[in-house]
Amino acid sequence: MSDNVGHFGGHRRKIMPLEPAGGVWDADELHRLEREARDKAARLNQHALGYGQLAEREWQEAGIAAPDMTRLRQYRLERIRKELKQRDYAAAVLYDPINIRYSCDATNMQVWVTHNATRYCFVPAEGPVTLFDYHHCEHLSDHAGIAGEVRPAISYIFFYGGTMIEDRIRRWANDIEELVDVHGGGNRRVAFDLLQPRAAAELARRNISVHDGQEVMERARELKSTDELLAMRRAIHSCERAMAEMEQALKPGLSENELWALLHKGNIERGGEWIETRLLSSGPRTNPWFQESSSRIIEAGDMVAFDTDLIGPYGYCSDISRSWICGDGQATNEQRDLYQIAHEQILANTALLAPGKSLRELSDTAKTAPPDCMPNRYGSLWHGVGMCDEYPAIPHPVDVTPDKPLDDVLHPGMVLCVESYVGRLGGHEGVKLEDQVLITETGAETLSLYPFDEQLMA
Amino acid sequence: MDQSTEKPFGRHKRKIMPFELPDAPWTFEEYQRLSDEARRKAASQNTHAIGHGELAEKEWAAAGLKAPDLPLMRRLRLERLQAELARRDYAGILLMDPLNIRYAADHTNMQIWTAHDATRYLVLMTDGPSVLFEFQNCYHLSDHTGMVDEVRPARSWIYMFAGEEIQPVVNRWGAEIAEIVHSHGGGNKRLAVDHCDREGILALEQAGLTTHNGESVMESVRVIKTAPELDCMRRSIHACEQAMYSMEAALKPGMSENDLWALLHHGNIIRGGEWIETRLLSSGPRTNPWFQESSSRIIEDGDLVAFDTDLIGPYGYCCDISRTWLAGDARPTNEQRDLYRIAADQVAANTELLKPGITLHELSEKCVLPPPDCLPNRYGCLMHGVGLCDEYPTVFHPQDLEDDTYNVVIEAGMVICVETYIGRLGGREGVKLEDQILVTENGPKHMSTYPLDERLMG
Repeated sequence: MSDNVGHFGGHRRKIMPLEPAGGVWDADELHRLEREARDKAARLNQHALGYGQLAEREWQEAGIAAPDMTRLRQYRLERIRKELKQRDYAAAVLYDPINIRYSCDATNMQVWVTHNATRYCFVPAEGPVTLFDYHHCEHLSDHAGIAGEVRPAISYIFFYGGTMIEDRIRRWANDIEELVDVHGGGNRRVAFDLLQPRAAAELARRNISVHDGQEVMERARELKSTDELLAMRRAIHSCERAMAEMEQALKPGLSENELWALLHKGNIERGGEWIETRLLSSGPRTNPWFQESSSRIIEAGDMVAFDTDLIGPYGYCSDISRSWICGDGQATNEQRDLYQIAHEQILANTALLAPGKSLRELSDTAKTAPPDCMPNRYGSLWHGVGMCDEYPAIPHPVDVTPDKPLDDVLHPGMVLCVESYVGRLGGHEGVKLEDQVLITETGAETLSLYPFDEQLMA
Repeated sequence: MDQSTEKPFGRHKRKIMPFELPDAPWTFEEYQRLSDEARRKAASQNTHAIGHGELAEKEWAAAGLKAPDLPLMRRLRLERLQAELARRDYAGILLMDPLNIRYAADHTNMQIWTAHDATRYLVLMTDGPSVLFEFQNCYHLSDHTGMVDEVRPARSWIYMFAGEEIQPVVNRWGAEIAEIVHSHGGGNKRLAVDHCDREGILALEQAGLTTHNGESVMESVRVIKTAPELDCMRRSIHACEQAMYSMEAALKPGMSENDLWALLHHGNIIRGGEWIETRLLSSGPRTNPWFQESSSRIIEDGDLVAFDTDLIGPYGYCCDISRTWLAGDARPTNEQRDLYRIAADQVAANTELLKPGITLHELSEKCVLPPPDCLPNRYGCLMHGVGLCDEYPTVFHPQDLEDDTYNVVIEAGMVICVETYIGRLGGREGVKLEDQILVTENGPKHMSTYPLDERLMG
């Protein structure tokens, strides 16, 4: 990946927010040192260094080639620009760190930034990308060579703005307006993925109209390139190696949290990023679903069910669910029944996936759980996945309301998760299964390869 | 741990049977009975009701850290919040941020995912009730606290679920929230909102409400910690520090940064902790400039290894401390010792300033600053609040004060992280240190207890 380090010519905006006390350096010296520090950080960026020996060896064993990151980044940027042009928007301003990553492939404190709006990216339909990064983080995006300029972000969250939020918003808007003036070619229609209403009001005063950036980004992200799919295959493989470590460690006496901790550990060791939820449960806690991993001690014969919801290497999501039996004992008939219902549902609903199918047709023809499991059904039958859960979500027919968007059709390059939770209302246990499936030119290919449980299928 | 709070669920039994089942195998009464049983079961075995497990409990007992009175904590947090709403003459507050929902009602559900996918929300009225709009089929995750009067299915208008049909969904969403305000607001139509896109704000306003800054409400309330919250935080810090001891014991040349960082994730989860906000661990040349993210770099003998925990631990309280270690058995270089000494002295001196009555701007003026050749690399702030995560307020370096930088007074009951990063511009390495400090009437009191490095201090 180190071949993807861009040239840094465009990045050298002067970021010197102070006069160095005592005149340690003259201006040239200061510039030279700043430049050196940024070059060093770009060379040593985690994504430029690659994801380490363990992950690389496993990918090699599995025969999953490395994505061409330069091509991947260009593809993603072009996808955004295409969506912008199609809607006649001058630019997108992105706050969601996953959208920022999609646009310029730079990460910075991703989970924290998710709930603290402290960095944002200006992506014009034409012209250079400007990343507004967190204070003194100008060196975290150079490795990708996408952001033409990095400026300090102006954050107006309460943490930074306190009682002076309105003033901050005006200063923030100065930057946005300047970029719209310079790169918009007179077009003042700008898409925002997330925007607080007071900031929208300030933009309105400046005759900048605000449009739906979530739509732009979800549509851009919907179709995955070959390189993105290689990144995703690698993320899934790493996740599955960590799952194998969990399955090997599973034994009576272990707590749910101890088992769940192995997925976190296995993900981070392989250069993965974070886990979105804590959906692992055992025995009676598997029904109803959605109970979060706890200190409960897993007992012999318990069903153990989990959903990875994992953001792995390259920032791609591996969203797979499996259920196992703890210990060496025989599964009960009820456990096998539940498992087989879930497994059959996954296979049947995977077989329905093909390009051209409409979301409504999928919902209408889906195999659903038997009636006594329906009240406990999972939230969707299928949902998109990429750098996290993505558009679309396809509901059970019983959950379809007139405002559910179901007229879209599947296209090659979409990736969907096929979901099942099977547990009877008031029942002791339940089974969670989920596969990650690519829509191809001719049908579908299951990307998740973790085997189903032999004993429970028998 | 808090079974005493278990209330009868009478008030929760709003009919949640969002579909008609032609072939339902139960009568409606049987369906209700099974649903109620399932919710009672889930409440009794909720991860937060079960407690954080043997390992954490044993460590807390050994450290003499008493268990927090959770029912009291919940009541005190709610009282603080409702008093602030009353003081500002708001009818209630709409909370979308999972951390704010947790503060108000002390339960969790897919916290990171819901931080970037707005799929659940809480309406808390100033004089009650508290209505939780929960993700589909997650209605059983809040009963264990008795803090929620009613659970309803959430309406989500994020693109993943609403697609192009945002307008009808957001209108129904707004109307349903407004209906609660109209019914329980006593004529007051002023609703605070913590985070919401403008589509939602417009829908609320169309439904007859005025909207107000709920982030300001929540940060103002969260900033002062009650006694049981401090008990939670001490336990969270202790759990984090135990994981840090495991990291330090494992640290040796030849392991990767990610291998070391994985141990903090692992140690947090096995103790019932929740997640880590960032990935700020680096070694050797990657420690300067700061903010480089944990990578596959192999740690070498004699490297500095610096990290910032940014960890959300047991009870959902944040442990935000930074330490820097020396890898291997080598003696530190003079430069490493100098950097470390500057950092340690700065944190110690600045901690002493934390007394009730001092203002943020006074702190900016009086704080010891990094020496001139380290100033360009300074950390984003000198101090910041901490609670369920990083919180208000923030003390900036004098160089970063702007006309729109707010100023408030430090008060007893605030918990403040005292930060430093010391690395010379263009230098090879840097040192990150940070302590978590409680402000008392008598001055600062350390909550973090992890020792400083003897070799680097020597």
